[in-house]
Amino acid sequence: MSKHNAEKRLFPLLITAVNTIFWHPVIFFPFLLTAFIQFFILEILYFSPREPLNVFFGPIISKIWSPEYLHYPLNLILLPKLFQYLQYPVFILLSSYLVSVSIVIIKNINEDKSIHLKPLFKQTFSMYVHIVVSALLSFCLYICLMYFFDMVIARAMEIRSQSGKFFILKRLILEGAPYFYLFFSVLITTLFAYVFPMIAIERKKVFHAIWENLKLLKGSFFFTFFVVLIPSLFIIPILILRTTVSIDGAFPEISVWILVLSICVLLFIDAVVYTALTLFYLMLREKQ
Amino acid sequence: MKKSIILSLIILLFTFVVLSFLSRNGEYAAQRDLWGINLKLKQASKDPNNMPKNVFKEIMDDYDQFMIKHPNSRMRPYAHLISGRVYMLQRKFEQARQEFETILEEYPKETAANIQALAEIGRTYLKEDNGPAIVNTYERILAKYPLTELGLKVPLLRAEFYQRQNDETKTQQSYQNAADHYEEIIKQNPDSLIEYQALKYLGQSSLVLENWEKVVDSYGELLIKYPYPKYLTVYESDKIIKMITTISITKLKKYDPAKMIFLRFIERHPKHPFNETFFEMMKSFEFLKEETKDIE
Repeated sequence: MSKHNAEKRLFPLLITAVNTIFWHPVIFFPFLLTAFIQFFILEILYFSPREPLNVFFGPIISKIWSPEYLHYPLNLILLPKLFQYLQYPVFILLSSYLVSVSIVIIKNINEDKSIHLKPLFKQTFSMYVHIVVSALLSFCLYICLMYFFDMVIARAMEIRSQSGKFFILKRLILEGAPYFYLFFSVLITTLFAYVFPMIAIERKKVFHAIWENLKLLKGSFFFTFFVVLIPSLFIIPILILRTTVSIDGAFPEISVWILVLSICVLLFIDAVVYTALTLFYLMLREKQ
Repeated sequence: MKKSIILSLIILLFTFVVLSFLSRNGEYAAQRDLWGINLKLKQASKDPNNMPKNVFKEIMDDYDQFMIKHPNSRMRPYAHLISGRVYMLQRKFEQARQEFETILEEYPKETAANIQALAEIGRTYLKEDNGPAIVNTYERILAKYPLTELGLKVPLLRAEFYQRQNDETKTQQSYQNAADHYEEIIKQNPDSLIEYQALKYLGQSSLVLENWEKVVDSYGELLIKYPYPKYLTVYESDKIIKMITTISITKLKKYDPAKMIFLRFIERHPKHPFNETFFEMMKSFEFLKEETKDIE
């Protein structure tokens, strides 16, 4: 792994990250575990309206949403929403920890140490509380941004113009919503970019890590933003597919396949983003 | 690492296979099968005259297989609906009605399916141009399911039927009966979705009867009580506001009926986004009054 290639040059850093994963696939393993959990959750949700799982899920879905969503094919409209909601606790309690494990793996590879997964998992688990707290804080910030944007959407829905600049604004907000959410996600990841590496590698406590992270971002915010943004752009085809596909067609299960595809794409995006961020962090650390 | 990945794949596959097996004959499987048959029917409905006969045979074969595979499913009445619709597409109206009547006889508790069956029976008579039978079907729906979505619409449908027949006397009588019927429904079902629909239909009936005061009152009541997107979209609300204003000015020759509705609305919904529009409209009324005095 060439350390000089990981200087503050965007595309060389991203290419180095991809090469690193390719030559050391063990980095990918924690992300694969995350994907396994997500696929398992998706399977359970897919079968939730059917016997025998509907005995448990039926009353919950009926109460919170409507009994209609227990029937085919309306259950496939609710499925992506349910899956999204369950991603939040998975991210806070599990994915953040697994990302931290992969960061420690990258650090060990960088120092030419041998990789034994069990001790690395155990070592990272000792900082679990700090990892979860930082994930929770980033999630809360994301929810705040989403709440604010939901207010903007509600105001846009009240625009009654059928043409002109207000109509264009309304369409921009309503149809651009998935892309605005993507932007918020990239922004939050950027704001917390080096927290996981600081907790996992330096074993800093969460608030100290957040503070140091902000100090580090002061000199490299836009660079970090683009490191996160560019790989994240690969999710855009999935977003386009999600908004254009309808369950009224011949194949309502397409919404499930889109979710499967999104899990696979996000798996690679997360691996490249966090590898690149970790490499950059390690390079900065060496310079100090 | 390789062992973990293989184990994960085995767990996912095993879970999928087990859950698929356990749910293979359940209600969800019946819904999915019926949805597939219905999709074929929709395709065939696009151009039934040019559809090859084997398409209809294929749908009926799927229907037969469905009835064998799912003997206890709650979807069986809906399968009969599909079968009846296939006969309708082939203009075999008597056989279609037999299928629909089967639903009414064998599944009396399945309200949704029963209503659809009665609606389809009406459509078969419509296609045969059998006036008395159509009216009789309307009466059946009104007798059994007066407060359902279709049941509420039936008085209006009946009046529209006579209107298409160019029977002036019966048309006027039917619209008046419909208006009276809806007023009764409104009295008995205040603050409900039923009242909302009845107010809409009362407005429509009164429009045909040229009972302008009733039109303004019913649409005004609709706007004041149900101004939320759940009931009225922004576009529908706009239409109603324009109708109230236009009829007040051009037919009733007064600004006050519209003004009273707007004032009541503002009082009831002080923070509603429409209020700004209503204040401006009332200012315009005052300005027009100054300019022209009351139109009368």
